[in-house]
Amino acid sequence: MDTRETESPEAEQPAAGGADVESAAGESGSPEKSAWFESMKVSGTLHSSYQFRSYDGRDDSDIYEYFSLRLRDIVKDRVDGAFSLFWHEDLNGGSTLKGSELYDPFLDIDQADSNRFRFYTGYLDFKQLGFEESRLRVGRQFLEDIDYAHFDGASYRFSPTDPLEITLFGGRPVTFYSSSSGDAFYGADVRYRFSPQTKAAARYYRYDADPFRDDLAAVEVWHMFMPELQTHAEFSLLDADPYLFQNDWYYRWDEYDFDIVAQVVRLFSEISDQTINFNPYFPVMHGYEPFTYGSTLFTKGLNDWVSLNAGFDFRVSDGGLDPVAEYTNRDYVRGTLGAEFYPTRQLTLSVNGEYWSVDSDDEFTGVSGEVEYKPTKQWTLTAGAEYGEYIQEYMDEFLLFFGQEEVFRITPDVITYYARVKWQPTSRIYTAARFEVEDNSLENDNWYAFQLQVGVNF
Amino acid sequence: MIQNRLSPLSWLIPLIWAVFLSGCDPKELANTFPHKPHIDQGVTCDVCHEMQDNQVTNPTLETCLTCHTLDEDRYQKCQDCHNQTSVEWNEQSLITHEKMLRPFLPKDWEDISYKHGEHLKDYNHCVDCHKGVEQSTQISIENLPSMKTAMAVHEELGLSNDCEACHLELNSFTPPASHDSRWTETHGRMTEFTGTDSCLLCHQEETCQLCHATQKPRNHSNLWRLKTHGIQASFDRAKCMVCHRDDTCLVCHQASSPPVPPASYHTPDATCLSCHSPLAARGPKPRPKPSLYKPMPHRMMMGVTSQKCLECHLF
Repeated sequence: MDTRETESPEAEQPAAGGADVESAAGESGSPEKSAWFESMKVSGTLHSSYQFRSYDGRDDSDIYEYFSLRLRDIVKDRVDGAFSLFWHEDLNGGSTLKGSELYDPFLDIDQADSNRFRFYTGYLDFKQLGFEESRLRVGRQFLEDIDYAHFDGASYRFSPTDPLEITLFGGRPVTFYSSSSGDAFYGADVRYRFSPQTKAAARYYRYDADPFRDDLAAVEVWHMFMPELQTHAEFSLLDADPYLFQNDWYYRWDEYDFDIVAQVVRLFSEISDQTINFNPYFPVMHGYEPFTYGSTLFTKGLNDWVSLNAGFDFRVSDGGLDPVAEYTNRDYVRGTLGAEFYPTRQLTLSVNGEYWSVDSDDEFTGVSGEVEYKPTKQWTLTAGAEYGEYIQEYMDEFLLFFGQEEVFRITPDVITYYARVKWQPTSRIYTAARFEVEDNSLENDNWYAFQLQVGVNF
Repeated sequence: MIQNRLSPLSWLIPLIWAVFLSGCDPKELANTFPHKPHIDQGVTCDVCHEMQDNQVTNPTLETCLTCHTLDEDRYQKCQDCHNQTSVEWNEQSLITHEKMLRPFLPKDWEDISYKHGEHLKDYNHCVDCHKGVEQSTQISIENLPSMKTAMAVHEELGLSNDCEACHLELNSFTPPASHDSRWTETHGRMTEFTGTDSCLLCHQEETCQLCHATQKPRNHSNLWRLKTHGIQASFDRAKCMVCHRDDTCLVCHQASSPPVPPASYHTPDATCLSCHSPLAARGPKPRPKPSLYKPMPHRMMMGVTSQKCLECHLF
């Protein structure tokens, strides 16, 4: 995790340790040119990861690079910039298919994608345009307030008066693996802070992708009754019909060292052909039918060295879809239970369990345990194991061919052992190595993996 | 399995909370001191808040009595409040009101070490941090500086903005207490309340991408990657969307098609058997009528190319 002493971009603080970069223009002494780059501060992250995997006598080596760059005050108090990129490379190349295998056992999202670069962001911020508190962001960007939309275009955020903030945005959505040619995404977001405890937002946006055009409008409210009690609620319309309601609660009972996080989600409309591909309820696998989802998560500190946690969540669909869509809209209940022990400040032991039951008879049970030892601030040693068991039912189509609709139950399970060493010699540099062995009942051999990570925040 | 009749519970829970909370006004307890009339009368900050040992003090009862008299009504007012909070009231004690103010302070503030003397050039600058205090009619967290404000003031005064400048324990090696071993799973829910602004106090905007692009969740084992992720996607794919987008499925499945919309995945170069193997053969339930499909002895065909399938299954 990237922690550092830098602060919010909105605070317009220099990145701690960020290098001052003097431009040639600055050295020339020309007042016009010296405005550019003269006070620029550069910060960023370079994260490199090497992964080695071995299975059934074959191995695979990959490297992953993540690079982000933030340029503050390209023109002092006027222009900032940012850029981030992910790149991956399969060092082996080629297929490792063996015998009658139908797919490469090492195939994953990165390896299956011929495009080795993922260009995440690349934008310039022009500040104080029209309003003192404003910025025009042009380029590839995320809009974190709106479903974390990812698009190429422009967003203009301004504050005509202190507690009011308006954002106008528009552009073309970004998709890494498919074309978004001709698609469009645009809208507006208005936020008003009534008090330090209460904030509200209203927004509208539209997504165009032939042949669909969807309008979404939403209102959102945050309220802090007190630091220990907070709530958030959102209600939205999709194409003028009720779409989604979400309500979150956080409560801390200080006296008993007890935290509760609760959430209720209600999807009102059937989601079938909508275009909002960055929305969690986009119908990736058939449509979503209306459902109700609820969850609670409790954390209880028993004393200074033990804490317990428990969670429960469920999803209930309204029913009524065709059988194919129903299969991808299954109801479920899930429970989690965990404990953390801190016998000393350096040592943490945690145990977590999870169980879910999915309509009609599928199940999953998972248990994990981890020991973390931090002898110094710089070193973290971790070892752990995870066990998961799936129970799935299926009909054998061979028997079905002969008229026997017999249901078979399979129980693939997996156990993973891992050890990790993390070394953070300074607040800017971190390295980590992880070794793991995975044994699952559906494979001929164990999986072995080694990962080495090096990162620098500059 | 839970039934649809449980659905109303999801509405009852927030309703119960709302009713429960409607009578709760935590401000009431500390709603005792109005700064506004004092400042309107020309009382400057340092009259009540003297500087001692580099710290700004709170007024004593004696301080108040330099202007006020402790008549019966006023005494009763003090008593009313102290009775509510079970704080012993002593005429000779300092009026720090710490216990009453405590509920207004975020828990993380316990980690703050702060000396006013290092920050104040003179008392005219109080409102730079305590914004709106001159208009306040009650003691409130609204008039305390946020971390963002504090950092801006630090920069203005040329003071360090390193974590250690204010925090006793928290620094780039020691994250906040909330960042426990389950934080990787729970941080998304907490940002529902805080937004990303509070994250950006320590992290950068790109930090989200760094992890979400390079760190897989623990449950993404090889078994998950190759066999079982589709099960979860059949009931809880909203979680997939935290890192993935709808076209992510295509990346692998355009070469090995899952039983999902044919228009998307049953492309001519799809490999049928990698998905339509016994593990994935259960399909929709209830299954379509036999007359709607032509069952094949698929198991006998394991190992053959998908061209064999295409003899019967046309895209």
